[in-house]
Amino acid sequence: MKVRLGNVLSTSVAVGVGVLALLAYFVDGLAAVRVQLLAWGGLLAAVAVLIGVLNLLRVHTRKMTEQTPGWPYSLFTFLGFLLALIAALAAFLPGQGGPTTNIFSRFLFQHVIEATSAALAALLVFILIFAGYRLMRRPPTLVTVVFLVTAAVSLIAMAPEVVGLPDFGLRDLGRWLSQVPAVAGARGLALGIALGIIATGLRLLLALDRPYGD
Amino acid sequence: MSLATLSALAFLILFGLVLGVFIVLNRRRAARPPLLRPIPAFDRLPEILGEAVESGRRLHLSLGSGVIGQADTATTLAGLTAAGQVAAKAVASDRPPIVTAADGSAMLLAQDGLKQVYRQQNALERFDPGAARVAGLSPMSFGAALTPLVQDEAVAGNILVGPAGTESLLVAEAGQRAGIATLAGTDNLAAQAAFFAVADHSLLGEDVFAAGAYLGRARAHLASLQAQDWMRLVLIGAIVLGALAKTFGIEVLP
Repeated sequence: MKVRLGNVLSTSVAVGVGVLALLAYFVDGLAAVRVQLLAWGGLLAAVAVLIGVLNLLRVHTRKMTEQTPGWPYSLFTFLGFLLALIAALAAFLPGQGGPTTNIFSRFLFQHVIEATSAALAALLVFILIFAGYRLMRRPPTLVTVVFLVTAAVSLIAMAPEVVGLPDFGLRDLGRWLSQVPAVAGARGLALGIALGIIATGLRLLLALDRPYGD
Repeated sequence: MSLATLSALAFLILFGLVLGVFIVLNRRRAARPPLLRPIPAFDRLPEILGEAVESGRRLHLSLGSGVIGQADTATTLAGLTAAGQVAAKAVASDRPPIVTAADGSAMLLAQDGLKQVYRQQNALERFDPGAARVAGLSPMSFGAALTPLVQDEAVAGNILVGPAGTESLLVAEAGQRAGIATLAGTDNLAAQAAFFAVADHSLLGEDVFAAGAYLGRARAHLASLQAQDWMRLVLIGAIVLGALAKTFGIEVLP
């Protein structure tokens, strides 16, 4: 079997750093090492953000030059990038705040990014309602019936109370559903996920998984 | 060292030992791999792959909106494993799969993983570095960017495994409108519930971490799945014992 020196080096560095960072949680004397490793990690993460931005621009440049379907949207991506860059550079003007706190950046965040994000988040409500409707049209299974009934009861339980209208105990049922079976189920799922995370971490530390290097 | 830290260390060491035992056991009986409980979403994957190959369209593999180096690193890595396994089965089609991420590091790892797959299949000349890309750098921009991708890139199926929030419903909905299947799995509980309603096939709980064992049958992944099951039993035992101790007024921890 051919062993690449680069692979051996990257695996050694990854496992070494991983083991050190983990040990630092248990050995007080290694806390400073962990802080230093995390600082280097933060630096690499910042470089990764830059690489991500360059990759995004490269993909959209390619879309525009090859005029693939939907390429006009790429123009808006570029426009947004340029606007954000100009807003950040405005920090160099006298009397302005930092790159993200100056008036131009704040305007972009408040009136473009936050507004569009809120609009998209609102759209999700309609997507979920349509999804519920589509679920009802599928052949019923025990799980889908339980899911839909639970969702309906929870919605009724959370709806504003109308004076004089009986709720037939649905509010109490909804409260019980959200406080007992939902919490128990969520904790069970969260424990399973935690075990999955630990298993993934251990595979990395034991070099059984090597997502780095080729 | 506090008792909580000590118990966490003991749990980790025990987990590592159980994992090691299963790796050795699986090596000895390599001809008879362990039986896995059926996960419908993974069972339907060949259908999605077949649809992509037959229709001459491509698969869209997404790692979710996680960032390497933050709390969702492990889930992003689970997504990378799933993407690598699926890509290995899909690179032979006319249009190779694309991988989307919301972070530069995840994108670089996906690029590396894809290159590895092409190299293993002696098709390195077909590898396109642009096939792994950053779709958006924030969760909402990521979700929004994936919506037109389904139509623009002639996608035959979405496979989203990784840390995704409810914003990723946008891609599942786009898939529904385009009439293509979406398989989605995440560690976010609210998004899991939403995916159950919107996606065609959803992964629940820790299923998101089982992709390596189910799709690639890799020995280490099978062993880690078995170790997870045993450690779950340990946890259940500890919870039951704790409940009994509390019921009978026995003080276990100081």
